[in-house]
Amino acid sequence: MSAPIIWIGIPFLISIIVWFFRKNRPLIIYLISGFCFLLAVTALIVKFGEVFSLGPLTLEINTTFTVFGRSFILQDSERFIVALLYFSAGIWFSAARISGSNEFFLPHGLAVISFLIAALTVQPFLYAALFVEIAVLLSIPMLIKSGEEITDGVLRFLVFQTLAVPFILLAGWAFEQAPFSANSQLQFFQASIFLGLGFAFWLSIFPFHAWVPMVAEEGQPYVFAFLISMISTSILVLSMDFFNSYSWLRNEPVLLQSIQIIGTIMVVFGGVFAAFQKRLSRLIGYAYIYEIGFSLISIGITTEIGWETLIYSFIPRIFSLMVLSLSVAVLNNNFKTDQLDEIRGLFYKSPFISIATILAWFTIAGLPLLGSFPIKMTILSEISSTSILYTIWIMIGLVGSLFMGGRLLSVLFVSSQKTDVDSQLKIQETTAQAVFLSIESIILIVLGLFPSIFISIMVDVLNAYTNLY
Amino acid sequence: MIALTPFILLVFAAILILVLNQIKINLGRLWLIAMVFSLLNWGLVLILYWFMPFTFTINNWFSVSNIFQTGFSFTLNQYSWIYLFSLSAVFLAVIMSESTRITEDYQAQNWVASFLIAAIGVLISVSDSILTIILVWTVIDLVEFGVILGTVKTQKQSLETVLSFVVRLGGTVLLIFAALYSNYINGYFDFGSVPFNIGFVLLISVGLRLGVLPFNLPYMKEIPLRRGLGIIIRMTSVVSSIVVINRFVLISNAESNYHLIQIFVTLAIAAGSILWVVSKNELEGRPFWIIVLSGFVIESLINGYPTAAIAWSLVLLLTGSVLFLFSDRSKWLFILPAISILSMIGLPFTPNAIGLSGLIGDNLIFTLTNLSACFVLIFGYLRFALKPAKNLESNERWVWLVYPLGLVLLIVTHFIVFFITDLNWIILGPLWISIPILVLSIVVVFFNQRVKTENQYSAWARVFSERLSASVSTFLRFDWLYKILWGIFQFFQSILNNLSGILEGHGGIIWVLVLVALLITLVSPKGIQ
Amino acid sequence: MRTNIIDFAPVILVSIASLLLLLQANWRWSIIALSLQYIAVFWMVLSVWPVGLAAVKLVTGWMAGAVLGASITGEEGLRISFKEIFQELRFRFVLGLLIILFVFLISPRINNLLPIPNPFLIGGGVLIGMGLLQIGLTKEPLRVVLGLLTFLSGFEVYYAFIERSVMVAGFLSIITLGIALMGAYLLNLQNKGISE
Repeated sequence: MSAPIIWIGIPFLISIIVWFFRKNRPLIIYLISGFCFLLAVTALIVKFGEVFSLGPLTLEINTTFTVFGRSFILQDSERFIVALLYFSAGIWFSAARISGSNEFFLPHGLAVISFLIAALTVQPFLYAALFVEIAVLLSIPMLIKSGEEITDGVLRFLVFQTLAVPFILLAGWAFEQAPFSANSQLQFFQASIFLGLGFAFWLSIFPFHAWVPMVAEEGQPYVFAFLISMISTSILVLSMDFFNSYSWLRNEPVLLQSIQIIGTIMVVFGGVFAAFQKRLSRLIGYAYIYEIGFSLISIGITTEIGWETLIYSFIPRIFSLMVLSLSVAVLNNNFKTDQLDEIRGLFYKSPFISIATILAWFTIAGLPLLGSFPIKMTILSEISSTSILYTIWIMIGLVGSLFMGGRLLSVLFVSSQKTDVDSQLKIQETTAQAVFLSIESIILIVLGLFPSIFISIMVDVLNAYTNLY
Repeated sequence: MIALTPFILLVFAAILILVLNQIKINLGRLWLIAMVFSLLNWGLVLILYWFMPFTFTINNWFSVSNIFQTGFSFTLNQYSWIYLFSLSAVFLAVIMSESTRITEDYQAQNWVASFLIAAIGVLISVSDSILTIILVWTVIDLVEFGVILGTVKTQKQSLETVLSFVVRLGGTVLLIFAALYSNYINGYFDFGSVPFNIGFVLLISVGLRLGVLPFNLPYMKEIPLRRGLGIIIRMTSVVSSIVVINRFVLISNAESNYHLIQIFVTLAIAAGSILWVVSKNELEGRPFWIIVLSGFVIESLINGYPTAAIAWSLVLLLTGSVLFLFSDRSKWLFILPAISILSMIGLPFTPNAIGLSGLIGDNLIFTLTNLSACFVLIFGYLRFALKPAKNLESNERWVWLVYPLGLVLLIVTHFIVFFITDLNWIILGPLWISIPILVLSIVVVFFNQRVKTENQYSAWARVFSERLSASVSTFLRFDWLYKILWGIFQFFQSILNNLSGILEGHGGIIWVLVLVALLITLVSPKGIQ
Repeated sequence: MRTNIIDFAPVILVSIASLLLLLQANWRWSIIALSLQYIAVFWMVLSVWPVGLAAVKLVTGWMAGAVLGASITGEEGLRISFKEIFQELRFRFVLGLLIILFVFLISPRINNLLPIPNPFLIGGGVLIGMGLLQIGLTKEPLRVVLGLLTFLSGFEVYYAFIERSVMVAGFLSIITLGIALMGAYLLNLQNKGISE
């Protein structure tokens, strides 16, 4: 048995099988979330490529699976990423029912993860573009709300993600040609432009970001957050693969500086635009833009600390987006609105939604005591040691997002009425909603207080990328 | 770990009271337990003085970045001990004064909250690294936000609570920026000596949290939690900021000095002192007391008197708490605030003799404003202390002893700190200031008694002071400024929404392609070569 | 590789077909234009790939067209709704011509980047440009999908000249079909919406 079969092939098969039973949602939810947790735990426990004993049996899980001359290689250090993807998906799927997601979410979601992991493991890497595209195509039905019209955001999502494919394929070709070219420096540069554009489309980097808030506000925030979390995590790991493989990328100052500049633009863009938003669902989009900005800055640092922060940022990001999107989805289900003007004093009606929203947003913003604070501080610390200008700009983005946090506090905690009539707590969430929101909020708090938890989980991931630093 | 023993003790006490309250123990007994623990805490901190210093560090909290290399660091040394001891005295006094309010609702919950906040106060006092300070600031801000939000009743008060939290958060962000700026200049962050640029940001950061820089009053009226828990929250929050600036040694010279900051601080001091003296009572005036004395702390630091800054901090905490806890009064009990204020007047060889020196700087206008404000502050203090209030004798007899004892403890603590610490502050002080202030204060007390008897004047004075207070505070609360800022916010909001509309609208993809073409042109190989 | 005048024939075909696709409001004509585009793609790819392999592009493209065509049902779904007024058509026509001209002008520059004979460079470029234009000018799912397919077919022309991997060709065909299927799914949803 090989690891790619267990963590790519079987989940894909299961997703096909459960697709036929997708109408039976409770069963599917238990089945798929349980299966995802199982895959996650197994990935954490079992070492790939090593013989281990299971009672009287001795088993070995090979790292490689070859098909049509192409290999899928799931290295031992990558199992933590696999575990993270499946574990977070497990939690995501388990709250599918209260989020108002459609029937395609679970089967398609599982298939999306298996394709994204396939993209991470396939050799040669240019096939990754094709797997990601298939994942994108599979994700479209999940994003459309049952009985509602097709939205512009979803179409834009499809367009921009598809536009990435040619650029990645061309980059793969150009990087292969460059060492043999008479003007290899130029060829490398061209390859990096192709690659940059490909990743820019994938990660919705400025100016390809416009679809992000559009999809976020178009009805399925929970599914959207799942999708962008999974895609961005996979793509960022893939980018590490590129940097690990091509020394030219690591050593080209112009490229690295460009990445830092674009990252800073995204942080400022995400933070400042978030500060002026009127709808909660759009905040998920800007949170993503803001977060990707920080990831790009981490990549641009290219030191060991930079790569470490990139890896460590996955867990708080995924969980904060999960909590934020769940609270927005529940809010939409319960009150049919997520306009800030219409949810004044929400805390007194729905304290769980309010607290979860605040916690998630402040985690994303980087408030001290919450999960992403140490990561953002580390990035700022690294940047500040070389440039105060970048530091100031990033701080502007940070202040923008914290300002939005302040606005959220004033909206959620300040009653809409001048008297104290509705200042008494009347919990309107259902038990299931309260339980899920509480559990996920607690995860955020724990991540903030004990960041060493995610360090200990993710610390070995970098072992696969020995050339990076 | 010894540095954190008071923290452990207080948390244990909080849990114990919570559990005992759940099993319906008599409230009087609960109070007794609370008092015993707060007394134990006070005694423990006092004893720790002779065994200092202690340091406790947690290095591997997030061992990735340089900025976190020191991790969490808690140090109990002479400086942190002063604040720790003062806070424990305030806490003890609060619990003892609770004897007059035992029968009020939710007292047990309030005591639990008080113990937890006091425990956070321990962390604040002994925090010794930038990371610890940032996190502890956030903890106290969140706790204050939660506790106050739980007690306010109106929309306006809720909004003020949020605004207060946001302003404090702004202070924390500025502290983070100061740390990063320091990292840029020095390659590390150090409390030891702070260059002008960083000191400037730090002072604004702390000033913002204290309401001094710029003068800001998020709360139109004082919070509903007036005495008891209210005092603990307020004082702990103040200490969290003051303890930070007292660690810095600000470096300034002729070219780079803190005149700009001094202008704002002096303005805040002047405005705060006026608002203090015209306030209805000491609790209404509490924010101004904090602002003015925090201003004195900053002025002392800028003038190069770190010890004076500590002296003013003690006045803020201990002298202030005597008045704020002075809820039940009797004729003879006035002696307690009177003794307490003596330590503020700065008579020779009293705790604040050095404090007055800190207010004297190079600039005559600043100095005169500071000294005038100091006098106004004392005047207001005496005015409030002399006001009639609930009679102590209306309480049970044992309260007659316990309640004043709490106030005495604050005064005693002030003198204990003054005499046992070795900060070279037992000095003569500027007699040309302290003596006139003393004389003026006596005159004020005398006249105050006279005015009281003449109703016509007192009524006029009351109306005048109320109107002055209302108009000055309306102007100084910067409501007009907030309206302008709101207008600017809406202007930017419309611009950004239009920009989003363009990118997300019908021709969005074309715009994106244009932008990409532009970007590629900018980074074309020709440009690189 | 020597450039033959006959090599420009598919370029002309591509230009006409893509212009037709851009201007055409009738879905039947659009699908026919798409089919013509794929014939041109097949023609261009034929100069470097064996017939069997090049035919994959043609078959896939036609299948994509068929899938899209099959999903449009009923009279309501017959027409693609963009304002069929003369000014609109004139605007699109001029834009289309500009794209063709632009591609023609920058093709030598692209040639520095990609070692592809000039006619095919122009042919692929026209498809890419027209595809992007199509995507940029509409919010209609069918038009967006047609634009994407046009864009991808242009890229496939380029890629065929620089990479001859059968596996990649297969994957690109899967993606082409996948996009068409997704388009069909979106059209179905749209039709449902209209009928409801």
